[in-house]
Amino acid sequence: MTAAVTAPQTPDLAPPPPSGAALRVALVGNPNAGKTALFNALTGSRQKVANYAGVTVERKEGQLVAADGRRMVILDLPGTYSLRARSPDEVITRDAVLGRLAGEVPPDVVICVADATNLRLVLRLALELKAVGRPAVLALNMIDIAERQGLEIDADRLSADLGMPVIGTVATRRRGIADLVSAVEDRARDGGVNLGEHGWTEPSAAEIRALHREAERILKAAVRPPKRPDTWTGRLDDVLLHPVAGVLILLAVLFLMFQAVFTGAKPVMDLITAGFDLLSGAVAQTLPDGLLKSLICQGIIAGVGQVVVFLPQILILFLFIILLEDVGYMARAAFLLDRIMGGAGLHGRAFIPLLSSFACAIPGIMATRVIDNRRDRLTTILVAPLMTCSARIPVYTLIISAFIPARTVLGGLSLQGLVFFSLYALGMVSALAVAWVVRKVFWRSAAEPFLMELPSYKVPDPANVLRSVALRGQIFLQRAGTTILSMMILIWFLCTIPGKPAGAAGPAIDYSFAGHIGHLIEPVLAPIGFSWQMSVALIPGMAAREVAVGALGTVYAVSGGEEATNLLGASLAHQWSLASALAFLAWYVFAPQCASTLSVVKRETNSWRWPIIMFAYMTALAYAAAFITYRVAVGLGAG
Amino acid sequence: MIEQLVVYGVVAAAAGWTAWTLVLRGWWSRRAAARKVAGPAPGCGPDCNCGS
Repeated sequence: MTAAVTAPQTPDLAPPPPSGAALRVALVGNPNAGKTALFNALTGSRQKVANYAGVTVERKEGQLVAADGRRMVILDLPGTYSLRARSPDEVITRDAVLGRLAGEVPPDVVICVADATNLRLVLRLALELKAVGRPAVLALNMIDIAERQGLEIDADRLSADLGMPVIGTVATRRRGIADLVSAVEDRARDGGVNLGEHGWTEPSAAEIRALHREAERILKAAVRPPKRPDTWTGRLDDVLLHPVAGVLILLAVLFLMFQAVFTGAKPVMDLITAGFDLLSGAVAQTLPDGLLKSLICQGIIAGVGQVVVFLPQILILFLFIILLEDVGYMARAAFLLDRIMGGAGLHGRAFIPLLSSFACAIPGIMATRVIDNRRDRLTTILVAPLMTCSARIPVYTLIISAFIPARTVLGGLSLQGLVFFSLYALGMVSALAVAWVVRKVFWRSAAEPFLMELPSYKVPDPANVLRSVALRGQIFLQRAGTTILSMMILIWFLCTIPGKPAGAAGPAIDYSFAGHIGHLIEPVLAPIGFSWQMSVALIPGMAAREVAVGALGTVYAVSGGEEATNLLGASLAHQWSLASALAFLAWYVFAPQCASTLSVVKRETNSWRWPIIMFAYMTALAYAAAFITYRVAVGLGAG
Repeated sequence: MIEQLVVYGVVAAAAGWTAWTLVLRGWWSRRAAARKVAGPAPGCGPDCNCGS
């Protein structure tokens, strides 16, 4: 029988019971087949679903209760094309399936998740899973798109050839989920001829080729291609992947993104600053003068407010990134940039981690697990923090607003936006240059080829986009409410205690702990144009870059809200020279101002050697860049 | 006096929280993960107090 697979509607699944013997189910499949979406549909958990290969690098577990009351624990494994694992995340998937992963209970059933529109590679993986012997079910995800494209899949034939049930699903609409759960239960009851972890040996290249031929045979027998193939993706790719037009469009998209971050967020930022202004004013009127009032107004509200105000910019940046991922454009961007990155000695897969590093270097460094070659991976880890992370936005914005005139140049472009874009570009160019030096000078080896499937273009799911953007906002606010809040209280303490001695002439902060620390390190940073106040701000900035802005606010003893933001900028413009401000920006482009990043590098490389190398080379680069910037600016009369 | 107590209490809590988030939490979770992977010592039963 030849027929399109249908996916019935799914009833709601009951919440999991508190205890009981659970059936363990692992989701395995090619990257971008919709494993994470299926995981969400099965467990109801909220998680990032992106139209981009290699997004699943962390272990994710959820629970559900089947219709008969049986509890299931679902494990979402990283995407892989084969159990012949090469990259670290593929090794995790292989070991989890085989039951070799330390601390992980072997799965009772494996769900092989397939993109129904692209079965060629997943059929080979299904055959490999069959050889392992664990009970398995093939989920034909995105079956609705396959039907729309006119693809005819003979599910019975496929099931007979693969030796496992085949269920059509549409994970994003929860279609076919009940049938899938029921099939998993049946397979668990039947059990499998488990050759298991002891009998499995890694297939050789010849065996993989034989499996591929078998997969081709099954594909020809069970799948009939559409009579009139969909050409939309092809037509769009003719333009978007064009060697010249494609790169120009990509640059335009990136430029638009950075302009939107700088200009589009302003109205909401004004609202937030007004809110903090009101709050600060109300507290100042209520409390009598003293330590407590100073702590709340100058420490908490001024410090945290000056960081929270950048939330709209971060949300806009992520909205663009998530939209481009969900549409399917990010894989094209990786393809377009592969030649440029390859010229610098970076692997094409490095695009994903480097792009993630625009948000934060930590997920970027964790995303390097998709790179299989160790040297490629280490190179990417070393340069990832040079990409401009969102924590630098508050620092850049503050200095640019204070020192760069708000006027238009080159026929209507915002000069401030242009400087902002230039700082991002400087980070990117530096990352490529450092990668080039590392790969061409220290690690001479041939570049690995870059193979990646380009997904079909899709209309993004608004709920998924909003959920992902909201999650990013929540992470930022959580950080502001915990780490940054506690840091700001400590900075206020250092800037306030001990108080000014009786009869002392200078400002109180000169006599504080912060004043002493600043004066102590000032001689080291004086050659790059940093005053002792700037030096003080760099210390808490090591914990989180954006704290430097709040720290500057506190150091300059400015109170919170809109007034604070404006006054801080004015205060800096009054007290710093343009040369010092530019040197501060240059420092922030390169400096390893983030302890969390260094600790993640230690965790990912399992060695202190690489975080130490990273800290040393980035500090040297930052000092050199700030020194040159400062001296050139002074020479040009900006001192 | 009370004002100073409140302020220094908040500062001490902030110092504790900062130390926890930046240093101690990572160490604690690594220790817990290592224990989970290692599992109980051989012969260790549910009532054992050996600490493994």
